[in-house]
Amino acid sequence: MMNLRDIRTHIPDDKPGRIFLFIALISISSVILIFTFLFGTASPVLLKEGAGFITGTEWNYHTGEYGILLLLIGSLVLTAVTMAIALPLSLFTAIFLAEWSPRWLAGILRPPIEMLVGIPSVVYGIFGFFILENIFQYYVDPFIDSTLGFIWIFKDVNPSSGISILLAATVLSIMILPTVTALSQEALETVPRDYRHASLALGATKWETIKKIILPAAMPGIITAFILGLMRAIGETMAIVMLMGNCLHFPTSILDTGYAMTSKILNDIGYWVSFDEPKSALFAIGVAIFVMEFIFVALARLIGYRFSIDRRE
Amino acid sequence: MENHETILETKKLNLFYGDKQALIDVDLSVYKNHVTALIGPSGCGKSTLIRCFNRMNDLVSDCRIEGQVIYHDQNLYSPAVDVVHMRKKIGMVFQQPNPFPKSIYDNVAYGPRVHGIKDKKILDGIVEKSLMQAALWDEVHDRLDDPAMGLSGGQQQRLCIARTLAVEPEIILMDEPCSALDPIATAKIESLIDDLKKEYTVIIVTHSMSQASRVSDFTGFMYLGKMIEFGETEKIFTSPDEELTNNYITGRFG
Ligand SMILES: Nc1ncnc2c1ncn2[C@@H]1O[C@H](COP(=O)(O)OP(=O)(O)OP(=O)(O)O)[C@@H](O)[C@H]1O
Ligand SMILES: [Mg+2]
Repeated sequence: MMNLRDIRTHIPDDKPGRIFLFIALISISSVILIFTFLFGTASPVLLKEGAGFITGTEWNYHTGEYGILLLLIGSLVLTAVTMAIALPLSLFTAIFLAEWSPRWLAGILRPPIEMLVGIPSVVYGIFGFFILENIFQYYVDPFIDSTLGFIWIFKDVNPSSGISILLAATVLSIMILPTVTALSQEALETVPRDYRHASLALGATKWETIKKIILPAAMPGIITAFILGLMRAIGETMAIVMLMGNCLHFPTSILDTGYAMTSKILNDIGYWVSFDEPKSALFAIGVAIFVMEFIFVALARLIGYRFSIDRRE
Repeated sequence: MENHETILETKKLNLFYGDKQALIDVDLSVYKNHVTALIGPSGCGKSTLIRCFNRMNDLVSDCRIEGQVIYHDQNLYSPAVDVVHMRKKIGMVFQQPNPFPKSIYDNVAYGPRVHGIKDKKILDGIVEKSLMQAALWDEVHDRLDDPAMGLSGGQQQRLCIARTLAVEPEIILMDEPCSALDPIATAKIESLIDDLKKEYTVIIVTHSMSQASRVSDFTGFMYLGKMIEFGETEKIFTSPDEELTNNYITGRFG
């Protein structure tokens, strides 16, 4: 156990050290403050509902029932579809940029890709709503339905609208694509050249070298990139509210509407924040999002650990 | 020299990095089952030349080559050459030990696996044989699954040699393989090179004249991108024809 004396030995004895310690304490305490506030506000409803908070499907402020199962499913499906679109796209783009594209092309492509990061999410939402929605309704949804519709998850359940989990996931993918691509590319480019040379000198082809040496060696960095993308996908609110339909039900298909946890908070907080229990319930959703992110990050790390080479290091 | 079989030969080899010429009209014959050393002051083009032999210079974007490198009656730089296949036949050991961040076993098995060998028994055999040849087997046979990065520098370099041997090349190129090693590890690698020439042809770049005289049968002295003198090692180190060579080996410059 640490006692006060031990802690005191960690206080730097030079002036710059103390200043940095003080500043670090400010940022650390702000994080602690947010957590305390979040959990504190959420605890009445969490305690009242118990496990029912996760398993319940009813959300009703008047009867005081708070179950997030459908919202949870909405968020999970949305995240899964987003990752299914964004991960392969950004990974392959990153591999192309890092390994095949000539320097000048990578130089031209990179700034616009990076600029996409700075666009506010509401703009993506508007773009999705006014442009992609139509395209999805008339072209994408019918196409998916006619080709893959015999599998229930690809069925176009509401042909009269383009609003769907897939639409939200597509826009979300475009949003996280730049970050994930740029960071993955960086991870690939920082793999020591020595490995590449050694592999090529052994008579491996470029693709074999990428597959067997460079990708595994870059895996920790790529996983970090994916995690950042994942976090943004789970936490994103604005664009999703506009594109996913916000209909509290069990989505049967990726072309169905759904309701994500973040959307629920955004939609309801304005009115219900002045009531104690509803406010607590909405903060409880916040806790759920936080826990979900935590689990996903842990999972991603675990998977990355399996893929990366030389686990013992 | 007449009764030595030439395995690799350069003819009027010129190499440019952008505008800068790094090799000037280099003519060199490398004899089969012998060790050829390349010496010369820093920046004279030794690494550049040795990298021409397995076309690692292809990775340098603005590198241009004129002239020929003849290997088995074929110009390595002719479009018909399958570079990947050629590199299997002409292996390379780098200056810095560069094992992959994988296990010792996987490092040695990497080449054979890439070339399609999947049978675990065959791979086991190759790994053992290669590590034996590289004089590393005794030190690592009970920890083949340990990470290669955990080996000492000298062991890592011998692992890299084993990894190269595992693909059964004809020629092994070594660019200052001992420069990152201590004298004991260096001695091990030198005696290894001596054993290797029974089965392989070795070309080694070195800064150490004593190393060149110990391990090599033939020596080429390079200066400012030119091959100044080439001949039997003993002759180069005792009675060179060229003034420059003499100055270099007696330590008057470089
Ligand atoms: N990738 C490159 N791009 C441009 N110039 C290069 C490149 N590699 C080498 N050079 C130049 O070519 C010349 C020969 O370099 P090289 O590395 O072959 O010398 P070296 O004899 O191996 O020297 P050292 O003993 O220091 O290793 C040098 O002048 C060097 O600056
Ligand atoms: Mg060199």
